[in-house]
Amino acid sequence: MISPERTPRNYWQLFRYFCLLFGGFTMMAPFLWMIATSLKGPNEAFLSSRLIPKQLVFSNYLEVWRTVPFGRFFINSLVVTCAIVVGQLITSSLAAFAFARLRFPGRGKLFICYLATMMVPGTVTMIPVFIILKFLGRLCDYQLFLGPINLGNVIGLDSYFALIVPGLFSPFGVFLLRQFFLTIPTELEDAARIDGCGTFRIFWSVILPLSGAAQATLTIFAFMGGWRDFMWPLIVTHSLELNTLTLGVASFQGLYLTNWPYLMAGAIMVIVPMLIVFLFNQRYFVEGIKLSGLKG
Amino acid sequence: LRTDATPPASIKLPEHERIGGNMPTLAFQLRLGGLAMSACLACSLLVALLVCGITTQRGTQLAGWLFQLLPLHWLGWRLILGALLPRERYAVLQRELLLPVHVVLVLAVLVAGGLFGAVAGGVAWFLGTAPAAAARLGSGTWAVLAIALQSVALIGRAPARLPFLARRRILEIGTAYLFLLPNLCGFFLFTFIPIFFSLALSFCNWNIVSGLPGIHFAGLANYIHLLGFTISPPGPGDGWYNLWQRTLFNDPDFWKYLWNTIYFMLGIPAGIAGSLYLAICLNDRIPGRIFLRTIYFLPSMCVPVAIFLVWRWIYNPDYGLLNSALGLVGVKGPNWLADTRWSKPAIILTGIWLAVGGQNMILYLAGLQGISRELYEAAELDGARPWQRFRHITWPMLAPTTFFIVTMSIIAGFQGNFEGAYIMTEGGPAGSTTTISYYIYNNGFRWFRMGYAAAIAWVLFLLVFSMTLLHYRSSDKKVYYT
Repeated sequence: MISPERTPRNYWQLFRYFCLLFGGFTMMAPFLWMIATSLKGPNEAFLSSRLIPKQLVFSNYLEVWRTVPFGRFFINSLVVTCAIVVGQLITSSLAAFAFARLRFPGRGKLFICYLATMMVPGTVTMIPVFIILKFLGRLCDYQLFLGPINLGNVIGLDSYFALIVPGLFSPFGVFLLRQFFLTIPTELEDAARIDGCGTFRIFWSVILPLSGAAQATLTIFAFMGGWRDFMWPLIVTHSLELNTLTLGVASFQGLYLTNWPYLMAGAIMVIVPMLIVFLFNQRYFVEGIKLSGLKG
Repeated sequence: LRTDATPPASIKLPEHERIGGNMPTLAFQLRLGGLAMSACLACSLLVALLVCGITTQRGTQLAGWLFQLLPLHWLGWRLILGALLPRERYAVLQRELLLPVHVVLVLAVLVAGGLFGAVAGGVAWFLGTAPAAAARLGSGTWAVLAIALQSVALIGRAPARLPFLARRRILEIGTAYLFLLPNLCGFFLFTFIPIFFSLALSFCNWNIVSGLPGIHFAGLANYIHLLGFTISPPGPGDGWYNLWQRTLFNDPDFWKYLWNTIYFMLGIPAGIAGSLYLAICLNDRIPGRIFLRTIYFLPSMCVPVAIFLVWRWIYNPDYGLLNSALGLVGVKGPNWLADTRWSKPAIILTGIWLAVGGQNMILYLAGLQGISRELYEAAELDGARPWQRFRHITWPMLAPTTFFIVTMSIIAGFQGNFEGAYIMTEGGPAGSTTTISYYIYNNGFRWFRMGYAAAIAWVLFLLVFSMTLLHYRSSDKKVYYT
């Protein structure tokens, strides 16, 4: 088909394509700049703003690793995030199954409660949860529950408990999984029931294996939420051993306010694990976002 | 096949399966039994309370009592009902009612009572009561609550309704709540209770450093300080036009930060438009589109805190990337983050860079792939120009996606930019990048004004809620095209 607008349309498309490439370059430029800066010597960053360093100073990374316990931060982030992901998967899928498949009095009201609290900003509940944690910690100081066993900082503020537990229960996760469970045909469940499955067996052997996509979505959201969270760890922790990576970067910034090569090396070390996870699971990330958008 | 446990009314059950129905006196007997049981329980709990009060130093027995009372309770039921009822009826009752009720109801009641008791004792201790007295108070509260709840459950409506519930139904309800339990506990402790807690807190003044005795009821003082303003009477030459200058806010900072927050939200439409444009471009079959998508998607996948750190360096006035690039063109760039005129645009720019290829673009791409080709082909046959095709096909078909994205952006925007402000500018210069969420953080966790912070959080919540509602109302007629 030869249409009169073919050539201009191609020019236009070419122009658009170059715009896109330029945009892509803009997207990458900060990353390149970050890598370039992280390899500059301490003085060079302030002498010139050229993109390619005169000599590559890889020791910046080592130096950063030596002064700040990045390994510890990394492990903290990993532990907290994994616990949150696993916990959310367990609690949310159990509750979502109850909401989607079981009949019990108060189901509708309870579910509306869940939905309504999704509207409430995190800042509203942040302060009371902080107070509750502080208060739980002090209860444990006085051994009200477990006699002579002092739980110390196992439960209160400034503990893994404070970092993990409030993140374990997500109304969003319950909502997402419930919506997905509702789409699984009941016939499968009935067949399983005829074969003699109990309720838990149905959940475990029928519903869970069929809801892989939704579980993957929730995993990704919980992972991103946990790994990138900054405000909550900032509020509940104050000892260096409990800092997560995000906090580590922030405190690191205070430490080396003017030494940009170090700061950039630190930032790269924070970004890279996340990027690796992303690049290897890109498909799931994209699918997850689509699913949440369609269900939400 | 029906999955629900209650059999249809038309099916005749054998005698031993049926409860209630043809046993008119059973409900009455149960009621009587429940009354007697509660009395028994009350006595035993009073004894327990006395013992507890004398011996408990730290309330460690609390958990012990919880479990000791279950067999006692069970025994009481057996004794009383066994004596009251004929043998066969008792056997049915035992199988159909007592066991499930014990598993579900009694346990739940005792646990709830224990929880509240522990909280009450803990609060008392926190208020400065001696540990022993606090433990007594805790176990006392638990006992009273357990008695009250059981009495309500047993004497009240439960016996009248329970006989008509089959055992399977009770087990089903029990199972459902067991499934819910882990999430429900956390939901109540970390979401539901905190919401009301923070509402209550917003009517109090509390510097958390002074401990619980430092809470003072303040009525509406927080809200009045937050939202209140006075307008001085017009002098000579004043009129409506300088109303603004004559207005004196009780907390000018809040209004300033609210304005900042709204200013930052100006970036949202630009970001959404960019996402849509990118999605349309990257939906075409152009070389390297997968690679380009990944590149655009990359920033939103990174850790925002680290990204903000990088951008702080990019905005560096002397050696930053941006000013160097501007220098090549011969423009002397401003000191972005330290200049009150440029700090907000700088942060908006970072935000757009971060979000333009992220979630929104993916959602738009998914939306675009859902539009059928035929619509475009038909439009092309009718001679529609690209813009017309966009205006009359793409845009309306993407309306649900846009609606979702705008709603989410409004919600996120009002709460947003804590991290950016914290890392890049620390809220400065002169508070020009402080947002509401940063102000809440400062009030609550830097200045320890918990009550005031809660009040701001509630105002923010109402703001978000009303804006979302407004948006929802304004667009519910335009959204559906399926």
